[in-house]
Amino acid sequence: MATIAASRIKRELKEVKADAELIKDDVSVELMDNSYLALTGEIPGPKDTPYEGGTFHLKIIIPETYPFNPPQVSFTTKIWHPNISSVTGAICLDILKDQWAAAMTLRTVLLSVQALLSLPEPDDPQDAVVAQQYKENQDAYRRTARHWACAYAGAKSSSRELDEKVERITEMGFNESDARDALSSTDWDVGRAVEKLMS
Amino acid sequence: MATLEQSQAVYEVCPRLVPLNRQQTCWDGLICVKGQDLHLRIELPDDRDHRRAKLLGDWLLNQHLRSYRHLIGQRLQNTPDLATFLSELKNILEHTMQHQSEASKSQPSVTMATQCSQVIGDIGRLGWEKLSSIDPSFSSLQLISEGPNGSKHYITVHLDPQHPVVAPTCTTDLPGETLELHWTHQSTLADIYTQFEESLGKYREFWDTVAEIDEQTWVLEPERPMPSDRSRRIALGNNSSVQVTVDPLYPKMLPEFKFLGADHVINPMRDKLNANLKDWDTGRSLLSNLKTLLDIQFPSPQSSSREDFSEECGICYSYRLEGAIPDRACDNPQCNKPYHYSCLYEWLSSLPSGHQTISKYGFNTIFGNCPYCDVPIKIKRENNR
Repeated sequence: MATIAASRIKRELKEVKADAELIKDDVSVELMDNSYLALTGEIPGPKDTPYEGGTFHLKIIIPETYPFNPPQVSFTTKIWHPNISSVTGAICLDILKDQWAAAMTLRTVLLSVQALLSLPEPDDPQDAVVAQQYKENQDAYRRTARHWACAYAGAKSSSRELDEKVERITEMGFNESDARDALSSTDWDVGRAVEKLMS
Repeated sequence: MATLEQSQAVYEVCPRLVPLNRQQTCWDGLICVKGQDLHLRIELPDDRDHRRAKLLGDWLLNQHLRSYRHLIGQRLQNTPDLATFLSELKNILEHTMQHQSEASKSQPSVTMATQCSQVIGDIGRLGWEKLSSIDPSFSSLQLISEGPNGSKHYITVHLDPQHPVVAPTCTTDLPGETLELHWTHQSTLADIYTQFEESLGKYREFWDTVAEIDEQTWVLEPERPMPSDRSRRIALGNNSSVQVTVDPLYPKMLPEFKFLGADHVINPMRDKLNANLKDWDTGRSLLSNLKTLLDIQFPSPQSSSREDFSEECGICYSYRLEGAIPDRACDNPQCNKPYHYSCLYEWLSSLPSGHQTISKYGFNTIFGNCPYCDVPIKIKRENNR
């Protein structure tokens, strides 16, 4: 079975490479070692979303039973999104679970993940805090997601105001990423964020 | 060690090994092992350090010690003096000679020689040009027969150790049963050859029949047909094919058919064939009968390329998987995706049962949906796979 998985991945990689030459800003896949069972993926943040300009990295684990079972895909770049865990990077996407079909490929999976970035599904959340923010305060969600994309995915034009808030808390002696997590989940209320960090 | 002590100690182990000079740096003579005398010469450096000794001997000694060089070097380093080393050397020699005599017992060389000369004589009478290959022990040989149209056929003959009392066994590339030999004590290789050529004649019509198929259609399987292959899987286009199995003795009779592919493609063909079966004309070749009955032109190497008919499986993305090629296809005419039996079976088995309104298993069949177009697809469990 493992041989089917490896030979199919070989073929898929070839096709991803061929497509990458034709399409600009496309998703890409690279091998992690020679086993064909562990790969890394790269997704450019879609246009007109808070993720625009960022580059997001993913870890792809191919099960030995591939393509009869879906690959395990998770973000290694931290991201603020209702369907992606802001802590672990786990993705909630139906095609990675029960809606998987052998007709899908690594490329179509990454394109689906990219589409998920454009169209969050807050009613089927992976990260409850982000999903709640998305529903109740869409503007805060957009600013936070933008701030995370700048901090972790290399996107440009971050909001000065949010950067300063993170700075203020780190000056108190807190770790930068803890400060960012706390501010993000408190709609950037510095007082509540500090309270959360102290508790 | 003083020279006198050394020569005495050596004398006790090898009485017929004597020093050639006063300094005792060169020894020559015989070493006796199991009643056999072997010539041995030992040269020592000036300080008589036996660990740097050089061992020389006749070819027989070399033969015995060939594979023990490493061991002897080790013993030279580990023994305290020359005499002790010599007794170690005797041990090694005894051991190897024991082995070699046991090995030679299992080959009665005299009977072998008579058998060899008889085989050579046989081949000479048959003609050396008919010998394709023979193994070094003269126990199995391959003969070749060239047909009138340049085709080559081979027969491999395995001679029994008790040849010619016991009949040899033969393997051939004939499509029918194995060759039944008529063998008496007086029979020779020439008799085998005659019988082989006789049976070749019986299959000539069969080979003409399959040659016509191989030339004028795309045979998907076997990839490289052998003279013994009776089946041909002929491409029909649309990811479908028909497998015909030809009777080697009656090649113009109705062969066995098996249609492979999507139902909407192969069912009309199967119906047409069944409706026209009465028109099968044994006076014509199998291929022209097939064309008439199915009322189609087969895709041919003249009008198409092989790639058109070797589309990869939609699940594993390869054409050949453990020897098998895709022989199932989605029944949806818009999809028509080809699959290997084993891949589709595995895919449908791994689907969660929740997809189906009733159980996905029934009457040896698994139901599910095509991974590409989501239209229902089913597969029958085949016991012989």
